Amino acid sequence: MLTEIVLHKCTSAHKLVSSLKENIATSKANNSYPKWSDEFLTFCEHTADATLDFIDKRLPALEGSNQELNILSLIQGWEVLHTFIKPVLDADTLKVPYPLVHFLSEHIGGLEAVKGTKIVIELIPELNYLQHRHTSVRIAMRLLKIIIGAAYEVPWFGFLGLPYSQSNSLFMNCLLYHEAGHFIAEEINLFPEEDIPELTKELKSDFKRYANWAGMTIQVWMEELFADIVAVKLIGPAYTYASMELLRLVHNLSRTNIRTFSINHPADALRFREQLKILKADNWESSAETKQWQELKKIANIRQNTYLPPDDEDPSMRKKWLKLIEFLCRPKNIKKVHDLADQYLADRANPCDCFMQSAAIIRECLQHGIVPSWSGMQRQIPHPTAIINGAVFFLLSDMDDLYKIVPSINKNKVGERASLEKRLEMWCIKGIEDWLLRKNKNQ
Amino acid sequence: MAIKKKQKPVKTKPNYSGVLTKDDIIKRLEKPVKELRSLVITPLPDGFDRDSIDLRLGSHFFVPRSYRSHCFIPGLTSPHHLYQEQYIPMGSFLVLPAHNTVLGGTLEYIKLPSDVSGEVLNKSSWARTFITIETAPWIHPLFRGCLTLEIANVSNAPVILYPGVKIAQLILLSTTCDTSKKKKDEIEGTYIGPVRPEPAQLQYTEKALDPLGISKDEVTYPGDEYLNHEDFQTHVADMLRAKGYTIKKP
Repeated sequence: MLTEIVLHKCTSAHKLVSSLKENIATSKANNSYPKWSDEFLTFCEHTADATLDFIDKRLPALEGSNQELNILSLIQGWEVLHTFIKPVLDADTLKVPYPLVHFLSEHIGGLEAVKGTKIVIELIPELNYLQHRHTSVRIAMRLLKIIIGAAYEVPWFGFLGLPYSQSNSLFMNCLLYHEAGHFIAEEINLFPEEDIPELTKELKSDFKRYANWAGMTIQVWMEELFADIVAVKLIGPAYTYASMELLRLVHNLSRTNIRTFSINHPADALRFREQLKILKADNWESSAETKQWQELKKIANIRQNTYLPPDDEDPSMRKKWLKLIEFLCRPKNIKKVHDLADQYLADRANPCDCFMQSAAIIRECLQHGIVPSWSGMQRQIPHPTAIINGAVFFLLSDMDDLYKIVPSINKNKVGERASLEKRLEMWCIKGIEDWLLRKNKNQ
Repeated sequence: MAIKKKQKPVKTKPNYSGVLTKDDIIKRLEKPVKELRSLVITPLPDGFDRDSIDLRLGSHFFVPRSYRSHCFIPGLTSPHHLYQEQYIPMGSFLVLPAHNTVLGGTLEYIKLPSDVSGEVLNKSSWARTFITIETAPWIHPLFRGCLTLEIANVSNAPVILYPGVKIAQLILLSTTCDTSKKKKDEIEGTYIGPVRPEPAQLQYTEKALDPLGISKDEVTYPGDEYLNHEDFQTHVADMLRAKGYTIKKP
């Protein structure tokens, strides 16, 4: 028997879970979802069924105090899931570049450090890419499993959000790789809180009771650098150029803005400097020689003693911020971030090697308006990272070749120019789709 | 007496219009992309018939949706109002109800040589299930893109469509038409290298009828009677008065 209070809570929980289940079923009937998003939604549906069954049949049989505890925990678990379900429902395959997302999931899930990870895509209202921290939802999913006694395993989901305005374009969505870097950092607990005292022992005298705050800030900045390095190591200059493009939209890459740190992010000048190191180490220099490369080098050359602290209402904090910036930029701390990336991405393939193998054929295909999955009768489709970078270089340097064969497009008219650039992106997405099909077949 | 010079017969190139065989197709596929007479089919099918290439169904669809207006006016109504785009990943399926249509596309992206035209035809087995796939089957030389298929289920039962299945066949015909004399590669036509089905891009009726001497004022559209705002207000007011309402003048 349920008490009046528990009965009331059970009814509320029942209504919440039924409604969520209905929402998922309706969306799934009308749309199709990327592979792992679909699995996440199916997981939620199964968990909803089991939850409803538990509330209806098994909860009343429990002891009084256990009844209330269980129903409260169930509600808490579903509250957490609630915040994840809607952004996932919004990201049906039409609104995301499905082949890129599919490839990214395989790329990340194939790394030894996070093997078997399933990347779920969300569509978010912000004009920004972000990683939805998954630790809470994983705890919630496990909690629900234990309470309802489900037999299934909780899959290793990661959640990446992309702005709905970017929808299914290719180049800007390369920024998802940065968020994948954050996912890896969270998944392997790269910057644990217990490391803060060790990290900041040299700052103790300057920061005293603020030492913990200083340590957390340094860790946040380090994670940003780590995520950049992961992205560049996995997808090469396509990521760096996409970041530059985004920043150009946000603040036109102005000299002041790129030198300024924020509470959450190191200065873009520092971020690009570290990315350039990786690009050079991976041998991109000879291939990536574009106007953007020159601009990147200029940004990377900005002296670190000109970096600016975040805007702070308290002027006395300026010195502290500058001290933190100086501390982060110390070679040993920067090296630590690089070493972590090297350690956890030890099994990655250098995207430059893939690119070199098929750069000529990709360029030739795009020059003739052909999807870059074509390599004659050889049946070897270029690797997606090669396709993406080849297309980025083509867009930056060789579009004139394409304009020549499409006389109906006037390159001086913005609308027509944009339509052909979009077409180029679509050819590349198709190329990635063809590669995924070939890979499946070979498996 | 003037002797008439015997006129030399003009040598014309023989017209070799004919269907390309498997060997012809492979030779064309082996040519480098930059050659005008090269053929591209990507992803490459596993094999070829003696005189045709099987094409598979792609993942993008335009599914018709109920339309809020009373009719579709070519060139005036956005074709996006007619369809809802759907992406069906490989392994999943689309249900095509009886007596319904859907725009699909081929999985293969094609570039035809400068001296070859193409024709897309139904696969005989699909035809026997009363699925038709193409109503505008001709492909011009140098076309490139995934082919849009106007799929119709004219049977009495819903049919399941799986992306990736062989649904059409492409016949290639060599031609001696003008395009074979082209010296450079060019993408022409309304649809530039599509990788998914694309909705109709029709001309405004006024523009389309202009070459026939039909002036802009002579072209009428449904609903024209309501376009004059004052007339429409009077019309509505008269209708309401007829039904017993009292309409005050503003």
